[in-house]
Amino acid sequence: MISDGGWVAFEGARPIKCDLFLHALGFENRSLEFLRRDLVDAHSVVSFFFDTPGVLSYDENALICRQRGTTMVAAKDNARHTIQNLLDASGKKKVSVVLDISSLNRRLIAEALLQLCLLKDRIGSLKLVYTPQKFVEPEYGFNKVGHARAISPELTAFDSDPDKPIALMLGLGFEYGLGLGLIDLIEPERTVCFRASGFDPRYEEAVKKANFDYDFSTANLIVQSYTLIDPVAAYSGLNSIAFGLLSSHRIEIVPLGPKLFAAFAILLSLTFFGQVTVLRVPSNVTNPRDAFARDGFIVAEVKLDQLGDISTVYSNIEDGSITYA
Amino acid sequence: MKSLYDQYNARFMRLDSVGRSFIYSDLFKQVAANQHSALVGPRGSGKTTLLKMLSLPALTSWRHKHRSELINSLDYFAVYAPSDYAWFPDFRLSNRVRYNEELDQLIATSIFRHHLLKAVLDATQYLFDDKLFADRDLARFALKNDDALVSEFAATLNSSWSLGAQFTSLFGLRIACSKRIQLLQRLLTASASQYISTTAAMGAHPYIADYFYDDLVSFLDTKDHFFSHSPKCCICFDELEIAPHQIKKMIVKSARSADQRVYVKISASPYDEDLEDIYDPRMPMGEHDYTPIILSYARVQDARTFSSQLFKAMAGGYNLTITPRDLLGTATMEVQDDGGDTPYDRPSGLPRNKARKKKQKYAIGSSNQRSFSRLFEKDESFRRYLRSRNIFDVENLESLPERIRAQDIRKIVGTVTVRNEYFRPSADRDRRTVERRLRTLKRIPDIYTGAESVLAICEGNPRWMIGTLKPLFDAYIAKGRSGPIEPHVQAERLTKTIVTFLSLLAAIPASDDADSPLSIIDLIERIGHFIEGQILSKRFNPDPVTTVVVDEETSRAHQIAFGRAINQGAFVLVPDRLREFQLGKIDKYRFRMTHLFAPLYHFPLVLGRSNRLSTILSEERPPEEIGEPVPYQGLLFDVFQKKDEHL
Repeated sequence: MISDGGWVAFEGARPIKCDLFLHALGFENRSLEFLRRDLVDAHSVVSFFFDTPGVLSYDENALICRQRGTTMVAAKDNARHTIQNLLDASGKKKVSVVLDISSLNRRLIAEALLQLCLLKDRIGSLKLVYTPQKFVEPEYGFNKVGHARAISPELTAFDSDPDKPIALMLGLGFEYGLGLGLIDLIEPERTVCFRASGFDPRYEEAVKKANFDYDFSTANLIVQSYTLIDPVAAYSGLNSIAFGLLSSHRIEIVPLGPKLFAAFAILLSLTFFGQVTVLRVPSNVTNPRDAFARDGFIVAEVKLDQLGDISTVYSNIEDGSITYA
Repeated sequence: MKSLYDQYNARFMRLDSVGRSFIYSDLFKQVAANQHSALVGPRGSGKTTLLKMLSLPALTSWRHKHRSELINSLDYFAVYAPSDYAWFPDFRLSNRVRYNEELDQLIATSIFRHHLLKAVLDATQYLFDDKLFADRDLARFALKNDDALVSEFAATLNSSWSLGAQFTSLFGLRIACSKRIQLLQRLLTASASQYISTTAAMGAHPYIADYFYDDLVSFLDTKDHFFSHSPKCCICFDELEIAPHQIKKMIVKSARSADQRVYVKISASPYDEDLEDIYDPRMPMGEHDYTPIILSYARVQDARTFSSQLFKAMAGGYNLTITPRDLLGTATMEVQDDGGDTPYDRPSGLPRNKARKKKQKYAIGSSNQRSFSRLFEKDESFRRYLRSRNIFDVENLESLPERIRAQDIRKIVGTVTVRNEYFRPSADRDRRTVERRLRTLKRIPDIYTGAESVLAICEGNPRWMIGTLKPLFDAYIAKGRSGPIEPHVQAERLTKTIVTFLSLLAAIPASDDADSPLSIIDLIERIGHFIEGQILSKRFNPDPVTTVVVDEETSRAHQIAFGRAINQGAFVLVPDRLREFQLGKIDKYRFRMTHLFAPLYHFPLVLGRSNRLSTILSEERPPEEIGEPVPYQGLLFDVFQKKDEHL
């Protein structure tokens, strides 16, 4: 669960102190905002890089990382092994971790949170930080997408009653028409859409436009708001809704919209481990646009002890038989 | 209690609820026939409803004048077996490296098998139900509810199916199946994180390799032994397209299996890449093993009866006895030539006079005559065409001999109506001037509204009909039950249906290759733009191409994308009288674009001439007269402007 958090303005902010700072090195300008502003005081900084030289702010960001001497790890490599190795190398019994999800893709967020959850006994504290981007009117058009699939095998409803109908928890974002298309594709029995509010009315208006004024003309659908800059309340709301739905449904979450919502979706799946599927819809945007940081960030403190024991899903093979951990 | 009209999707409906709200058509008789069948149709075409209707709970709750006759013709009881993409590895295992694909497939097949066993158990449980016993027509399917006998029966199934259930009752077996499914799902998840050998897995879970058809046979043997129950069993596999390749193959092959006590009925989308390599001499093909039943209507008049019945049922849900014309008014556009008569304006029993009505349609002042007249005035190429047919007077079309009206007038009336709506003369014939006028229309014009047009646009597709009409019924009630609903309200509703459909299509990948630049929307846009050019080109075209044939020159990538579009209903199969449809294959078949896109691409609601898909897609430049297509957002956003901004 999220135990604490809120909005922090960059102006006057103190550096974030931690043992391990994980972030993405991408083409979005905001992906290096913390390093650019010297707001990271970490024993070790790991940059998961998406190898896109020459694209938008990538080269400038890569230079900052080189100057700071961060540990560069290819984003396509096994993030979970990387995190395991870093914790082992720290030499500490309990490690404080900060995960900057601003420019990580959803798959990496999932992999990182899974590994941190698996090793939660070694994590002293875990904070998520997220820098919303400065608003730019989106281009409203149908993007090419891939198949909607589970973001990770562990984050599926493998233990849920297969007879239960699907409840879809759908985060709404700028992706034009995608929310409506997914509802039609997944065919849930019940849908709860989530839209971020109370932050930037231009953003809210753009999401509304991309989702046809929320007129989905679908039965059993409600649209809920959550306050992005109040992560405690936002997560608590999601948690309550998920808890209520679980008694009668298998839950699938498609976290379109802000990455913080995606992180919350993954944490929900870890909390209700084996009961909630988190889906990812790969999108092939042909002309990506840069994303610049707003004047602050959202921090969310994660209580790992309330997450499920994901080690139970892994198996051991001994003498030809299979036992589960 | 939910009704179909509340939620547009039979997937969630209980079997008895399906029966209560079922709209009968002769198609159901075909589906119910004592044979292997394949129901082929796009999403929303009613496949799930039809298969669920075969089940005993649905038949028990169904009331209709044909009920007894149909039920008495059945020599089987049905098992409804759903499918769900969440059961299978492709969904669960994401883009992880597969450590052992063989094991993944075995687990997926075993998950499917256990879901099927649950379906069999559900159907069996109902055989002992008092409601079945009390039903005069269905009682012959009922089994005597002897506790000891049922318990022994369940214990025998438990053993032959290797379920290891703790409680040997039918319910206990069902619980055991659910527990197995959960265990298998865990095993699938575990196999995603490390290599597990097939041998080790089978050693720990020996049932993994059991075959569902053997289960069916042992079920029938056991049932016959304990109850001397003669009816056959019909397994209705729904949504075959969702299942992984190896499961599809097993299901399709099962029709060729030796046991005569089993029928297999499947529902599937028209196109399935997986089935292409299943076709070898040993596999079922066409009507030799499965009788294909096509659930789409190539011609508008084919859908009319069902559409009017569904309309009547929906109206009944509002306690209304109105006709489609009461709600929607009369369409101005001719929707194919049906002889001048439709079921939409006949409450009951009024005499027909086809000849008189045909002539009236072209009477002076009629909408058809006015369209001809207006286009004649502004379109030089249309004048030339009529003159070439020796038609000089467009005021008196009704005075033309019937033969002339049939061959020259009636066949072009749809094209004339659409062209008249959109065509504007331009002094310098500059293409940009012409196309700007086309694309700035903010809403669907009235020619696409009215009972005949709206129902033709909905294609007899229950989901589209319900999605489009339900809000209009609501509006009708809100207006104090006075109609018809204004054309602009109908247009708005149609637009939302179109936008919803486009959003669905946009959410479906055109290819499994993540790097492929192809998109279904782009493909539809290219074909739609071509068809639009046929109707709205500089020169009037009396015989436009509005259908496509998937030819051998069509690239594989385009074929797959086109097939996926067909499966969602973007294109409708035009059955070939000389060649039976072969499940999963689309090459050399003819398809027309769904009428739902008629307002988007400005074409009439007719079945026109065909051209090769490869030819249409190879055109690099759009027709000169039309210009470059405007991106969708330019069109769609206009729809969601505030209501007072309508034209």
